[in-house]
Amino acid sequence: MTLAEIFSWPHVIDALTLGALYALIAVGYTMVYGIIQLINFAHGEVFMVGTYVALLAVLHTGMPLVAAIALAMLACMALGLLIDFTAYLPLRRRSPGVDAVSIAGLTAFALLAVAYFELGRREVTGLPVLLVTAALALIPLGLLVLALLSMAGRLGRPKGQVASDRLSALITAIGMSLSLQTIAQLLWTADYRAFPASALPAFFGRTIWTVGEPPHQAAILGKEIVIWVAAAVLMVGLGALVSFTRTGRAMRACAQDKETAALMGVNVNSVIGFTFAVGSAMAAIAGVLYAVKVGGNISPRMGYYPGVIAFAAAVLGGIGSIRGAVAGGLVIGITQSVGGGVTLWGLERLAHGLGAIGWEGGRAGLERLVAALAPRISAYDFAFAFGLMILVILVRPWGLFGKPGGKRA
Amino acid sequence: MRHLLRFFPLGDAIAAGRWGVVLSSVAVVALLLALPWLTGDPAAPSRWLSGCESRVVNVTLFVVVYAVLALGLNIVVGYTGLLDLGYVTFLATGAIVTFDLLLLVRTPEGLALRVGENAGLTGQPVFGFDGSIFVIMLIAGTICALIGLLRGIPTLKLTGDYYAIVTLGIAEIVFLVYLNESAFTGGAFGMKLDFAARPTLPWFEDGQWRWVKLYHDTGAFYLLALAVLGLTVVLSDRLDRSRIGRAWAAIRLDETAARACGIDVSRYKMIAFAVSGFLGGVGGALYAIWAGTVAAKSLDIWQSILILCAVVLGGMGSIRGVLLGSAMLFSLRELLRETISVGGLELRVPPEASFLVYGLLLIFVMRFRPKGLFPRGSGESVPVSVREEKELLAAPAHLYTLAPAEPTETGHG
Amino acid sequence: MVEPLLETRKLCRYFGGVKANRDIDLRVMPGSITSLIGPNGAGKTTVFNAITGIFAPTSGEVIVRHPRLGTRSIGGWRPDRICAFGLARTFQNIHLFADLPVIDNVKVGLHPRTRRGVLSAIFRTPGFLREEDEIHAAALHYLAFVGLLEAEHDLATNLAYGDQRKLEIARALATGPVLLLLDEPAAGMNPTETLALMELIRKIRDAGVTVLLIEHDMKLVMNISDYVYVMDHGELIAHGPPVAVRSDPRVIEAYLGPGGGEHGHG
Repeated sequence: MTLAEIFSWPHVIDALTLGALYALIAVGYTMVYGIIQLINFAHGEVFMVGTYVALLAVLHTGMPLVAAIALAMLACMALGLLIDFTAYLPLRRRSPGVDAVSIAGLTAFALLAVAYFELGRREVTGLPVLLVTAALALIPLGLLVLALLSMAGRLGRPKGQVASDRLSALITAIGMSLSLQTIAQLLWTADYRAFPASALPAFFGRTIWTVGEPPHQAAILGKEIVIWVAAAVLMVGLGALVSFTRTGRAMRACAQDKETAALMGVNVNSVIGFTFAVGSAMAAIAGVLYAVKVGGNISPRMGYYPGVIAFAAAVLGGIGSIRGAVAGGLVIGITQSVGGGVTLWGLERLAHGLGAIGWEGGRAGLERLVAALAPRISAYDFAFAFGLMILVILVRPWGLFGKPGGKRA
Repeated sequence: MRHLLRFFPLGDAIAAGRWGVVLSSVAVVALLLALPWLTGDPAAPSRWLSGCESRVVNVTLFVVVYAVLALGLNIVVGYTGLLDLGYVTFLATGAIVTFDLLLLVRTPEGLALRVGENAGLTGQPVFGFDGSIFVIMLIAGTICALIGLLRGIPTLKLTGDYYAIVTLGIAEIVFLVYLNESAFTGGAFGMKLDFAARPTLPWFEDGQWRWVKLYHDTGAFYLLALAVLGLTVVLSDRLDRSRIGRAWAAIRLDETAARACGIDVSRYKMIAFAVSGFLGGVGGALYAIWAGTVAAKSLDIWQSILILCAVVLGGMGSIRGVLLGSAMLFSLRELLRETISVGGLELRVPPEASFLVYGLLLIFVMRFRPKGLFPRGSGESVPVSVREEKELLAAPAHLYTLAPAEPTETGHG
Repeated sequence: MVEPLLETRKLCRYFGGVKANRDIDLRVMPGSITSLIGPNGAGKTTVFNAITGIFAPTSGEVIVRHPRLGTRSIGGWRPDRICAFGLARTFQNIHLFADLPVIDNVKVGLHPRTRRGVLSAIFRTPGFLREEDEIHAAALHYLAFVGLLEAEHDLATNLAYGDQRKLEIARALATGPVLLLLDEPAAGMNPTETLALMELIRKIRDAGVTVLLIEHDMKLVMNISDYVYVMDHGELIAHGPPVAVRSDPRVIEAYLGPGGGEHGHG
């Protein structure tokens, strides 16, 4: 294997596409972490739910993909707010009313999901299903209203602060992730699904350009261009939002120092809610595009790997930085696409080196290892992404592009 | 005399006059030992043995195996306060090592595993000797302790969520290795223990001692699992109530102050990683025998979360809490499989939903009882009765080095 | 001639471009109470942190002449090693093990002078049990020394503020120091508590432990100190016996400012 083969066009295109998607997910992590120093484990599930919402909208109403994505974005913004409202907000401040409502809502929703699943299993149709489905839709809507009211500060004064320790918050996030994943499995089964080809614009599958020379020629498909353009536009837009708008300024203030921001009249909880909503909307787009790119991978567990990897991207670029998320996403995408090839290449070089210094046994052994690994190295693609994440956290916890001494775990 | 008493389990509690602890511990042990008899068939030749096949004992055994694992995780999470999300590595490694050792045969060509393509391989099993399970548990534990140390080297300086995410990352990499390197793990299909490969334990049966094969529904395995759990509890408790445990508590509560008190933080974290890994490996070995099959695919990160859930629910750092948390969580898992009939309506929580319960539990426990349902007590590491304390104050204290005897009540220094 | 127990030579600590400490030369004589005073932000705690290994000095030397363990240059050592070598400290913002009982806080302090490891703890060897008894007895004596014996079963976090300070001192003493570094022990105390604290510090000195004390309140230390160092803006500006320092014009200027009272000593 040569380096030219490893960095051939198909791999490069794959890396760029993955990187763009990871960047879109990573902004959700990086913004939330920047403000409340929490790894929002449930972000991967937001990504998954967004994909399902778009899929179901396309399947059941036949609406065009763009409209479905817009719907998914809205749904995910609501979901992001709900996650913050039901899981994290109560850890930040004590308010018995919010506590009771959010818990009752969460529990009721979970029970309804179970009921929905059971009705389906018993092949019950008609009124009961209708009622359960309606309730399933109404509970989050009701909670959403409460969440918005609470953020606007209309739900009464909170009763004191909670000493929310970071471990509790992280465990809560894991619990939220687990719950959402299971609910999705109950509602939509664990089967793998895909967007039907008919729902996707014909442009997606069309070859726009052909790059490179045979045998490493690669076609750039319409969907890849869409992913790149969408990612670029969204990231620039988001950057502008954070840099130039009033809300963006409030976000940056909160990331610096929540207490001071609050003293300056910033409604910290609504800024946090807004951050969740924006990050979630990005995740929804990323989810649909990811499903379009990979194809046939929509399942309740689809969010876990991209989620963790995108967090890695956020760390890589320097947590809290949107530009960093883009850079980190690209680096992780490249690592995942070419990590296996580069490893094999390195081992081969090493084998040559061993041969050159006259250690034939070592050379033969390494070559056998390379031969044995080569067929299954692609199964390790995520391992390289994880490996890079670990390396960065250990060596440069402030990220590849950040400055030491900044906020970090 | 006091020291002789303290040498034995529960001796501390007796010496300090904590009779509630003593009585409840004895009662629980007695109940666990009598459980097969209570649930057994009175008509069977051995009521106790027949009870070992009952549903209740099976669920108990499941709880016991996972309680060993949960106590192992508790060493790091509860005592040193680091959120280890990669604990499944130890479970998987312990189970896989156990299977590899049991399936290892000596063939004319050398050593080989009866896994996958080699399943038909014949030869002398290397670990087929009677009572090998103890050796195997030790090996599995030791390997996992070494992995714990290895994993500790890069993660020593990390705290909080970065420690959590790095352990998660390492566990994912190990998971992918176990899934893909099928020569040692059976890959996606996993490995199975046939009758021949099962380890044995001595058992008194039909008037004589003989070696019996271990299955999850045999009395021998039930007693083995209980013994391992008992040893794990004693070990955890003794470490917790010692100089080591106080060093861990210091690290958990305030690392800066711990260093200022002369505690080598890295060293004590490493000890915790090794002990936690050891217990994870032993628990993995138990799990392997109990399950009879091991598939790398099913030993994924959610196993970590599941065990973490038991620790969090019961109370991080509290042995009683972790035991009760495991009992609640893992029997709940079984109970959720039951069908309840209410007024002709068959109610059953689908198995798919069990993780929903765990997820909600994590959220609710963290909100209302962040220290768990049965939190760690705030008592001294070594409770001492008033009389003993008088004796101690009267005895010379070599470690008290402040020079001229300040006239305290006892008047020496 | 008696040599100093602790000596720093041209000790510097920079944070990026900020020179928190420049050329600090301290000499702490054995058996003395030496104070390091200066207005807030003068860099006193940085000196402590550099001496006790919270971070390494940027340059310069820290020399300790331990009566039993010999002379060492401890600059750059890990904090736990420095503690084991006989330098114990307290913190300005109290660092107790809040969720541990009072007596266990002191027992943690006995850590560097005890030895038993994992195996003896698991098997409860006679040596382990004997050592635990010794630890317990010593912990009780240290509590008695600072006057907290009554509170031994309470959680550290439930103690009154002044008692928390005392407990931190007891814990530091339990590590068996030859030099005790106290970082603003009187901060937040009322006058009565402060008087009792000064009494305790004298008692510690009389018990054979040399004391190095940080204070920003000058009046407070003048009574008990044998020798005083004054810092301002990261540098030593004066040193000498309290009486001499009190009348030093540079000290007066550092405390009151060139124009008069706007610095105060808040």
